[in-house]
Amino acid sequence: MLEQILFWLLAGGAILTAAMVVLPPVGRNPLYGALSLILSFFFISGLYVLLVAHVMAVLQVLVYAGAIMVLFIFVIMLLNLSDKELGQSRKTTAQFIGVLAVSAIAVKAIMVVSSATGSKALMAADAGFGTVDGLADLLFRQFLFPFELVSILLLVAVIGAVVLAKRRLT
Amino acid sequence: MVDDLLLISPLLIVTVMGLVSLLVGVFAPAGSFKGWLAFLTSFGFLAALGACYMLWHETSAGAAFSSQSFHYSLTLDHFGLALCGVILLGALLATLTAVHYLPAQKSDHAEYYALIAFSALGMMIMVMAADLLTLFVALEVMSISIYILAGFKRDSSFSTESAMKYFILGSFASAILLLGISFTYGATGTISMREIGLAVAGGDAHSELALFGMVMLIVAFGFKIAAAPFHMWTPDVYEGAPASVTGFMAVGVKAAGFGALARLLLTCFGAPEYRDGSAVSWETLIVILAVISMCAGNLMALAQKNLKRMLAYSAIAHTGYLLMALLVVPASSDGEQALNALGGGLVFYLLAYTLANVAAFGVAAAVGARGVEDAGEEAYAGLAGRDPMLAFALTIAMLSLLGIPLTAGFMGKLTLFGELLSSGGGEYLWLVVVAVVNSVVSAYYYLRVVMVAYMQDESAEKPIALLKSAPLRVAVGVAAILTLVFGIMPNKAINASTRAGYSLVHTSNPATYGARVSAAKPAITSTVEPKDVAHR
Amino acid sequence: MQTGNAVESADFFTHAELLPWIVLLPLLGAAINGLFGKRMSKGAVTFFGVGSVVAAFVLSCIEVSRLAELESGALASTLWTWFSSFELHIDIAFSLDQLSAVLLLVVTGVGSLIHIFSIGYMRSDEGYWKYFSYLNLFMFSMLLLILGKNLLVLFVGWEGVGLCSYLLIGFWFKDMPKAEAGQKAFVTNRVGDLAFLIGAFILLFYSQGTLDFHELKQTAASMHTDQPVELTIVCLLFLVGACGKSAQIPLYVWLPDAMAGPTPVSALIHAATMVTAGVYLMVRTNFMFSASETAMTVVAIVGAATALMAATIALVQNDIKKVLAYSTVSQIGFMVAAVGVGGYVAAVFHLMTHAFFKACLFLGAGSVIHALHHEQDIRKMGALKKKLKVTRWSFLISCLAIAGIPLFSGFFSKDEILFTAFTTSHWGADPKMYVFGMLLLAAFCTAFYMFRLYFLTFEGEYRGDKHTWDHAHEETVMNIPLMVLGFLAAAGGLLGLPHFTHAHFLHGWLQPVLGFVKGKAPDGTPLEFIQVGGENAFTYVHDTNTELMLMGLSVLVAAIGILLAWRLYKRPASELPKAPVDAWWHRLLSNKYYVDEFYDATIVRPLRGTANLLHKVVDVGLIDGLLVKGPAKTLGKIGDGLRMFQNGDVQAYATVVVVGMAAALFFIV
Repeated sequence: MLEQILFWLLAGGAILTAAMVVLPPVGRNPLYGALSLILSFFFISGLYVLLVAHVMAVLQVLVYAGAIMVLFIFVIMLLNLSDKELGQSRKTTAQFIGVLAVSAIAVKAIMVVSSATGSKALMAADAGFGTVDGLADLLFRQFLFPFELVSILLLVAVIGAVVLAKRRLT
Repeated sequence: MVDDLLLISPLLIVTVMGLVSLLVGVFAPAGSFKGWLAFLTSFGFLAALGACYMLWHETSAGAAFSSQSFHYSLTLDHFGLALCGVILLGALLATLTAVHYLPAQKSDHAEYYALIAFSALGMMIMVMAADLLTLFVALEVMSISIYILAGFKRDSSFSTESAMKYFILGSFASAILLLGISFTYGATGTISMREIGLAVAGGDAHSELALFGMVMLIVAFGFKIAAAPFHMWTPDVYEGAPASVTGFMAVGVKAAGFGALARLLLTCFGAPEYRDGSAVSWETLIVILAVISMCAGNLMALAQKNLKRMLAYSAIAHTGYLLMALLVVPASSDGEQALNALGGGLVFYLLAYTLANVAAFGVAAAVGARGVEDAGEEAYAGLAGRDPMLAFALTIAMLSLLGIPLTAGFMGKLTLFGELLSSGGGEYLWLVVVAVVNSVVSAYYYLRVVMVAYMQDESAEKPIALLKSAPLRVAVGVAAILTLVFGIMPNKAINASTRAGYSLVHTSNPATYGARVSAAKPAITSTVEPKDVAHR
Repeated sequence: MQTGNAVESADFFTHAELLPWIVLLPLLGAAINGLFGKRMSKGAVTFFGVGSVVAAFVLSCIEVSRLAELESGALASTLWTWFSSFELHIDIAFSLDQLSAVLLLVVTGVGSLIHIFSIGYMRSDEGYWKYFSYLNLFMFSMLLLILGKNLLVLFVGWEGVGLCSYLLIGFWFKDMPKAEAGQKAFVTNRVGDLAFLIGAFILLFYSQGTLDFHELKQTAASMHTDQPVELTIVCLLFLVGACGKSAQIPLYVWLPDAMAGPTPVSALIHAATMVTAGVYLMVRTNFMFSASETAMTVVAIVGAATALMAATIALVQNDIKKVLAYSTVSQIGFMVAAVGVGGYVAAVFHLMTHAFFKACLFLGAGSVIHALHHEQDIRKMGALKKKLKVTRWSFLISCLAIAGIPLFSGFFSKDEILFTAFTTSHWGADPKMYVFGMLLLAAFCTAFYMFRLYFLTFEGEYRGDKHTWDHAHEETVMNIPLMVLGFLAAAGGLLGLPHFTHAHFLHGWLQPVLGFVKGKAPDGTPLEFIQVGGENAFTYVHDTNTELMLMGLSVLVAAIGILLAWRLYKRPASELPKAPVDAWWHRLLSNKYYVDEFYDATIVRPLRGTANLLHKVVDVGLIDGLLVKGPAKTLGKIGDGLRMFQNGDVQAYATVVVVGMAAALFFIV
């Protein structure tokens, strides 16, 4: 019962703060938007805890809420955009239709998922799951190949940052 | 373990070559000519092609990896190898077109060649991936490299804008893909394609959840392969990206996307009730996407004046034709219909498409290198007089895309349509008719290019200087010649691609491939069996 | 079934090693001239360009004489397996039977003559090598079309000749409007090709993976009993294909425009060879057409209507080549009508004689145009018989032949068509008398407009400027082909003497292909049948009296036409009748029944409009206007990164993706 209540609190919080990232009035200011995102990450981290994925929960806070978002906020503050530079937010038909379609998909998804409770696939995790041990087993044994591939992915991202950002050498 | 490394040698070669060119590039003096790196990378692609060729003959019906980490993540079969070959060929030729093009665009950076290599790596892994995680990571490796390449002309707002658009929309599609993977996992409790297939076929999966995931996966791949209505980004990105990149993007992403989509659908959702049991099947969805894609692509292409933009719409139309290949149900040797296999249409068509597009975009690079890329068709006026060889190659490319006999494009269409007709008792005759009508409409815009090149005089006020580049001419020439060769004597290639399509019978069918793998049980024993992990 | 057929095919065909060379020689010539022609001397270009075709003609003669010595079957040669996947198996293979032999000799023979003529005609053109390269490429495609052992090789040639004609029409042009005329020809042809392809695909579906003509015979017979509707559809689709290539209603509009090309090209492609490909296709697949009564009726009506319509348009044309172009359309209409009434032999016969006299007429026209410095308006000609003697005589002979004056070639072939239309019944139905009537009327028009052309060009007085007249002359290298063709136009009819003489050579020659069965009517009149699946599809009545009566009738009609033209046009310049340009019928005819305008309004403009509309609505309107509704998207404005996000494209594109996904989800799940 407690788990249920916690889940709904965390999930609701995650969705609400995620919406705040883009929706006015909070989302109008990039800095507030970024801070909302950090909040959202915290809620998600709480969800990981509920799922007994402790390592993931800690990593989520450390890496995303900690390192990455700090970088975001640095960048936003360095740019120091004024309201004028941000311009007027516009309401377009595209946004309206888009929200409508996404809501429809969400409703459908909720219907489908709720009909799936009790499905054989949705089983409880067994002992050892979510621990450093279990995670290491997945990363370095079963999913070694994609894990190695991720290193290439990161390398590519680094190259991209360098290529796109560096000033022209004269 | 060493055997395993041998089995993924094409991947390793490409990775190493990418790293080498990246490192060597760092030591090259700033501002110096970096084109020689292209030859290094091309050599890597050539070596990897050789490795693919070697593995093709080593592999009887899908070689088994001895170590689990590979065998869970990768499938090595003729299908994957054949598509790797197509991708490598496209990468090889597209790299050569960039040698002098980049300096002309003032974007001659060493990273270009490393990025081409890494995106080719991503593509190759995509078509070999055996689980959804590997598939996703490979797709991201490919996509992010391509995003960067699309924006490689940093000085051009046009190029940067197209890269940004592609990046945002591509990330959006990635999100959809991840959601699709989550739903599929929720339905089956596994991310291994083979086990998803087992669960789905065995009725263990929650069917609505699985369908939900399936649709999202199709949508996400529909975005990557530019199937209407998920194609909106294509014209803008094709037009804005540097021509040498567009050429690679057009052929590589398409081959990888189709390869992955075909393997995914046939392995995971090959069961009859997901395939064509009723309206609730991916076949229906694919048919709809195919019809919309070819009609929209062809009609919109009619109105285009810019060659790159026209080729973008043509790419959408060809996606429509290619989607038809997924509907083919070949009969195996004992006359049984093999639901989880393809005919020879897909791979051969991709090959023909790759060659024609590399040639066309190569010519676009040569014409557009001096900063007139955004110009309309008048840039091509009188090309025949200025450079007969490029004009001829462009003609061959257009004729092949149009499907004129004695070009590879014609054989591709013939194989594909013929196979679709003879499979499934002719229920798709109407679809073939729609496709043929569409290909006739396409004559109008493909031939206009030829007409402009041959029959119009170049504008007198500002004649446009062509890029003088021997590697580009070699690449374009080879592509044109191969287009003719595969049009006149295609039988070997068609047989190989049929074999590739059939090989999915073994590797995607849980019963046969699973048995083969367990017969060659891994050298390293593990306490964690894949099933246990997945169900925990 | 397939293996059984293969075994039988192996027995039927005798290997012929020279056959591929007939096809490949012109390709070789095209390649040599195309690759190195720019750097070679004119003599060398001529050697490869003309020599390859003449050599192909010699090889053809050798192979045809081998065929004549065979007791049964045909010659064939397989190069390699083109394509083998699934249940399909298609070879690159050639075969030579009695039907393709006729076409082969005509194409290589007339082709050689036209190549020789071109040496003189194109001498001063800077694209001499390119011209011969294209022309040889055309010969290659045409020979593929004729010798193809299966439908697909035929289709390769079919597309190839279309492409080459497109190249050759545009040969002299650097300006877009005329190049677009070439494109019109190609797109019109593509409509026909589309029908052909769809027909072939349907056929493929029922033939279990083979497209060999020899094996399709069984397919046609089985479809006749099991899928008669489908068979009719295939035949009609092939008819549409033939209409495209052979310029029949409703796809004839491209041929008159195609006259923009060099005149020898018009002679070779748009008179003697390519345009008859449709007729060849229908005769080649006669076993299918014979089986379907509906299809044959449509074929006959299309042919007869085209013959009449084009003949009437030709009455008022003033461009020497346009007259000949419409005459060609009309004459091919005769051939198609002949197929429609079951006169396969008559169709092939007329195809042959037409190749002779029409090539001669076109080359004659070319000679005139060459002599008069590219003047094509017959109102500015006249009295040229004094200057161009050889041209005049060969032209006159060909005019007599096409008008159907006895003993000239056209007389025999045209009469056979009329006779067949008058007497032949299909599946027991009455002979198609309306076809006969329309063709007779067309024959009258033909005699009139041809002699109007002749009198205005060669007789009367000269109406052009004096300078041109002084320089007008003929060239020997151009005269030789004219003389040969003039002789053939006069004597070619001897290959098909009327049936009562029992000396119809062509009829006997084509017997192995068509398989006539002899019989007798109750009253003793000799009958012949073509059978489909053991039943009599066509019944031919060889009644001597009827034949003689019809001959008299057609000679009478032709004579009236000629006399009328003589009365009206063999006069001094001042007394020539003024064209009644204001009369409604004259306007109707000189505007070609407004068909071009009709197509433009109903097909071309709507299609282009739809494309533009889509472009506007979807690209510009929907995305920019409806969905974005923001400041106009201008590429120049996109400078800094932020505006990029705000121009709305990305949002709109993402919206389309999401809507598409929602639709798919609600549809599938």
